[in-house]
Amino acid sequence: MAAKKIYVVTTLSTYADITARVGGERVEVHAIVRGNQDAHFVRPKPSYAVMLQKADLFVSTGLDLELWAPTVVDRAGNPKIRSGQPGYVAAWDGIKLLDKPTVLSRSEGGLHIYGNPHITTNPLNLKVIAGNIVTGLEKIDPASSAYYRANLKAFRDEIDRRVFGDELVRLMGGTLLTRLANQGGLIDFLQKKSFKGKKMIEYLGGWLKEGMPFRGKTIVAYHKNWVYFQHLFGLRVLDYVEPKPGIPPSPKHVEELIREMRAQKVRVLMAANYFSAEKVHDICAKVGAVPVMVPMGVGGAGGTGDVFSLVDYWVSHLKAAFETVNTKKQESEKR
Amino acid sequence: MTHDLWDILGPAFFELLILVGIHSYLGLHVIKRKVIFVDLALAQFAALGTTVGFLFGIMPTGTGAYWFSLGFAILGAAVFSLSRFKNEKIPQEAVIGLTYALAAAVAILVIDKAPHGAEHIKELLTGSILWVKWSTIGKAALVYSAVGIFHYFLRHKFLLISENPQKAYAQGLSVRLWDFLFYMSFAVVITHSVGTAGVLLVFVFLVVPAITSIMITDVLWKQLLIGWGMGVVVSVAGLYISYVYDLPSGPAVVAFYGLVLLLVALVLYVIRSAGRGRALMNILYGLVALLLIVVLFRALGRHYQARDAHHEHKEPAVAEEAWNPEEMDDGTLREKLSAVSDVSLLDKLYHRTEDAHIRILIAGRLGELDPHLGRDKLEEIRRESPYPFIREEALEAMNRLRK
Repeated sequence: MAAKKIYVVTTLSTYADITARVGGERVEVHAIVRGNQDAHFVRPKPSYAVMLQKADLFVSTGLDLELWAPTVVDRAGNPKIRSGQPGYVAAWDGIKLLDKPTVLSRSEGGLHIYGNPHITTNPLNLKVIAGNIVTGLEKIDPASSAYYRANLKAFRDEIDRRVFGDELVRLMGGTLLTRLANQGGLIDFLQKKSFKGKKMIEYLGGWLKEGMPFRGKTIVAYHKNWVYFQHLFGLRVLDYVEPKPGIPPSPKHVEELIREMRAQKVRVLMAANYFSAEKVHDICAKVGAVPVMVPMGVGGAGGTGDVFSLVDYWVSHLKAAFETVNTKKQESEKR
Repeated sequence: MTHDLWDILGPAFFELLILVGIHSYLGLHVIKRKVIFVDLALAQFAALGTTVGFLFGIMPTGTGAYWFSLGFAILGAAVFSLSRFKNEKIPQEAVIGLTYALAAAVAILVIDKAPHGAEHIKELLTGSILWVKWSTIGKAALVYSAVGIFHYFLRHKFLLISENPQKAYAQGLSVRLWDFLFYMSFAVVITHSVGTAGVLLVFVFLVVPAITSIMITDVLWKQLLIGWGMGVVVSVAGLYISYVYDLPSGPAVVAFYGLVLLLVALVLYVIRSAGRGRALMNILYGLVALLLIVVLFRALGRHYQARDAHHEHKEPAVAEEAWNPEEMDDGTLREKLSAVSDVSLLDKLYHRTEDAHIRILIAGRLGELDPHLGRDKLEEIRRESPYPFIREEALEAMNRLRK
């Protein structure tokens, strides 16, 4: 392999972290969107075009998440990375999209005509994304295929162990676990089956185990950023504060939201940390809820330097919020 | 009114009331001085202050940020009082527009270094009147009352300069100083109101009552009463409309304000014109022209909609899920398998998937039809799978077949 590294530009910082993992020392990666920015609305800067001019590979979600990406790519005038060319990777390829609209209408705040594009919130999706990136790297540098594939396997194994725990992966294998988890039937399956006199659920570890305290619980989300995360962790979402991105909600919507939150005793509100913290805290104060503000992407807050610590951050913050709710409830019961 | 509804609309209603109180009055000055966009510019200065504070690590929510934005707004006030020239070769509006553009551009440059930039700029425009807190309203009421008292005691000087600056100069007043005091009090109000109501609402609250009342009368106290009355009615109606028709509150009040202004203007036009029939005819022509424009744009929209429908949205055909075991849960798969009694189909399905768990299920069904074949496959899984749980499952399936 020549000394020249493959120059990769990604839209999201999360894609950049994955690329660095599977590409190792043979790639140089740059991301456009920082982890605490809204990927929908990024102000184009000349530096993006300069980066894309040099790029051998461009990784974007490929859905209508990075609405600005086609313009920037056109401006860069780099034919290699246009959609459909070998230098372009659509990260979503092979991921089953949720929230597919039944009626196509832009008026419904419907930015997302293909389905929800916030695919990075389910760590299992990251395995598919990593595979797509490796396919892209192989096209440019076929000689290093074995190297990329080895890194890919290591990455996927690591994700499996982090999601399900070492023990369960050893017993059942990541492929089966991933399929069951994506279908939404994993926990049921584990509760029904047993192995060596112990229920399979007792072998569960990793993030899913850590997330058991909030499985089946209901939250309110600020915007539809978290559907894939919720799907994996069995969280129910009562409603969204701002269902249409960028348009303030109507009083009727807010009234219904607050009434339902009180009636169903929903006490946790989850929001990406690019939304106004003041607003989220005000809403929470109004309904007595605990805010969970977390970054969407890698590096969006202290201690989220890679994909693993990012998911750690999400799970531990959500868990802590539910613990706060519980202690509050106990305190009020004591009185 | 239900309790919940009051919880949500109550604060917004009172916030609107106190906004009406001070802005209807200040708006009269703004119109008379012909400095319509001064609120936008001051608001932009205040926002710039918040962003600059952010550079020092001050979060945009705290009191630190408030002093930063107030400080910058007062700087803006100083700029405007310095930019009034006795003989107007350069209109003050030009200076105001320019300061607005510069402050906005610098704010964007500064905010580019901070993460939540885009959100804050959007917030500045529409505000978040629904989320206003009682404590904020209380503070605003105090600040606005202070400004109101200040203006009441100094009303003669402020009004003279607003209405007749030449006379003020002739009397030997220090117009620059009084201008600064005026803009400073304005800055105090704006810093507070833009933060909760947003630029759009504040702008409309300043300008519409003032225009309406000036159209109707020249007497100050009548102008004030008309402005306040209109403000209260429009705020209540606008909030109500936004509730009933499920619309964002701030923009709904703004739009309703505009509509009311238009209606008042039309009524005045008819009443005051010499030939009423003629005036009514003119309005009719206007309506027809408006209708025509709407129809034209509608046709244009339809045309492009139809064209785009041909180009876009060619969704790829959904893959028929007829026989994709990996998409099904165990129960469904078992059910579907038990309906199959074609050994070669089962064999094909078995080899199509690499999922050992699905293979066990298929082999189990195979074993019911052809025990030998089924057992061979299960045995193979039991021997070769690297996963203890799968090996155990295969073994159990073999035991079931034996029974």
